[in-house]
Amino acid sequence: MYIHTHTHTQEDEQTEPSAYGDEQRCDMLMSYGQELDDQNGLNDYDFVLVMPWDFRNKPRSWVEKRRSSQQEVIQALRKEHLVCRVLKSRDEDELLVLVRAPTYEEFCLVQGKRDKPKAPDLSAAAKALPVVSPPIMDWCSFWADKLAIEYQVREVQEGFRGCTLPFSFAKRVLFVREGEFNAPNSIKPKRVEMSNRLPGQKKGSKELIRVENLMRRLGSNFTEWDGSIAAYRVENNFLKTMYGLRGTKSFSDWKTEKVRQGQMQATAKRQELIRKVMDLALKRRLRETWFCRENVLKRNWAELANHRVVSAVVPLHHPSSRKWLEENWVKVGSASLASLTAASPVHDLRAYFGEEVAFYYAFVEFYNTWLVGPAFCGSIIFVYQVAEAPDTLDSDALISYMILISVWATLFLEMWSRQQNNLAQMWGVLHIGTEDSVRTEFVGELRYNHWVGDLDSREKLDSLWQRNFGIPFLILSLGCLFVFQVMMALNKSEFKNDQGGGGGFIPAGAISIGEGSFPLFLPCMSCSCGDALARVLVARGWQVARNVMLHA
Amino acid sequence: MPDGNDTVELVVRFGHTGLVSFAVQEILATSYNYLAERMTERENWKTEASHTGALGLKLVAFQIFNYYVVLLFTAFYGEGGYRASPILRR
Repeated sequence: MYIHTHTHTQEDEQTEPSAYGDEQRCDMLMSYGQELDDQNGLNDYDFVLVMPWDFRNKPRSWVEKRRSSQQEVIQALRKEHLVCRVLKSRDEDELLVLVRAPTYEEFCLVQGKRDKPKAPDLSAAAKALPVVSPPIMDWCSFWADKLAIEYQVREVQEGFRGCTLPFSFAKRVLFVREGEFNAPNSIKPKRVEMSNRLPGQKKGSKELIRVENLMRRLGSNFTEWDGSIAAYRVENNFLKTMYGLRGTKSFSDWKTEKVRQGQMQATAKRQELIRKVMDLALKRRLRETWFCRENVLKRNWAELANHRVVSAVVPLHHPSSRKWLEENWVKVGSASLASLTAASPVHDLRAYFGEEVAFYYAFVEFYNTWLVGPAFCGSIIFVYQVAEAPDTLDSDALISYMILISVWATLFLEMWSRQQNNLAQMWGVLHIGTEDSVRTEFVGELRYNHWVGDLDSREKLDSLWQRNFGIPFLILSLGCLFVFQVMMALNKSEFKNDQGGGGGFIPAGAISIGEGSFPLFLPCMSCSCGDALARVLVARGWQVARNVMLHA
Repeated sequence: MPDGNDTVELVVRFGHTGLVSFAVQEILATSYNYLAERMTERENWKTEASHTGALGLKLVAFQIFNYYVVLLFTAFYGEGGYRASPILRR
């Protein structure tokens, strides 16, 4: 196992970090993986990690900690078979670590050869390796198994670097609010099994039966993705026969076209997967780093950035996909009048940019199509107005236009929600919500989370208790403020009345500052008393309540 | 309406109160912001959204009150306000 052996030797060397200078270490990191890239070039990478390298005016031990952690991060990624190429920035103050998934050949090499191939053998061995068809196991499905993601893999002839491609993550973790689970007497959640279902569909629903029938007819090799395509085809044919809309291509044409474009498919998904693996690599492998040696939860990119081990993790563009998009989408969009009717390649946009961006363009396209109607009617009515009342443009035709617009708006919204659900079903995002990111400052305690199905960091009782004081603190402060400000204003007006119209050069408000600052002590007290009270209560038997909350 | 001399007189008579109340407002706002942030930190919210929500609720409610109560008081209730001022009443 080439990659493994190499990292093992590096690990052995790492036990004596002082034996290596910065330059030597950097050369060591940089030389590795170079031979892999002679074939592939630097264009095919998915992520870049930016690592600070120039630590001036820092103590030696401080720098050494960062250096060894950086090395450990790179090794952690390499141990998960990610190919990392290390470059130095031009002014030599940063390391750029380019990360990509291994190609099919590389992965076969890692999987197949258990003994040690030497470094120079790699390119020759990779060339000599016969292309196994169909690919049984590749990096993506390997990781899909490891991550226990139900994972749809479809073979694509001109696939991404010879790999089969991930199309959808059918099983997504559903999140609900923490409080619902913490509440006593609540029913325990059950994991929702999404397998054998189209995303978001209940068993036995009409859609599912329709798609299942289609899948049965089309053959057993079809995945969920193809089932969605079949549903789409039915939709298309329906529209075609009923309204004569769309449906210009047959299903097989459509599918072959998709496969032909397979090169750019699922860039967003691939990066999602690689990002998951990178996260997992940190969780599993960062055993030596000083700040997260004990705490697994601190092994994430944000913490690494906080400790100045890594500056940034940036996903990269994929050049050939960009080129394809430029030719088939950007240039078409700005070429001529024909661009008005040209549909944007929404599915490809989805594959490359992800669902959010694709929905935007789908909406814009849909909206523009629908605007044709009101524009046509509006121009007719405008002409009518000009003819009838050239000065005021006031006409009864406006009323009919208003009615038309209100009906149009309703229809438009309904049809868009229909289209949206259609796309969401095809893309497997029908019931996906946004997932909140956990704050890096958050300090929790490890407990079992039924929703995630694993240990998770949950809120402490102290902080839950402290939250009761937020609103009282606000109300108290508002009260203090009110008293203070009114006092000041009254003081002002009294002062003015006493002095009559002439004086008033002494800032009257300043006098009341001394009195007004007294209430500021109260919020200070309420801020600290929550914590103190929680401590007292926890010490005196709130452990019981905590257990109740835990087992609820 | 007040003419030029009256404007000078207005500034001389009421300018300092404006400045003082502005300074006081700033002091109050700064100290309250510090307290609110510290308190929200201690509340230890798990997600960014809940943290921002808790902090925003505290800040917005206070700051609106802080910056507008003087104006409102002066305009509608205070004796030195629009109704009471011999200059402005003209």
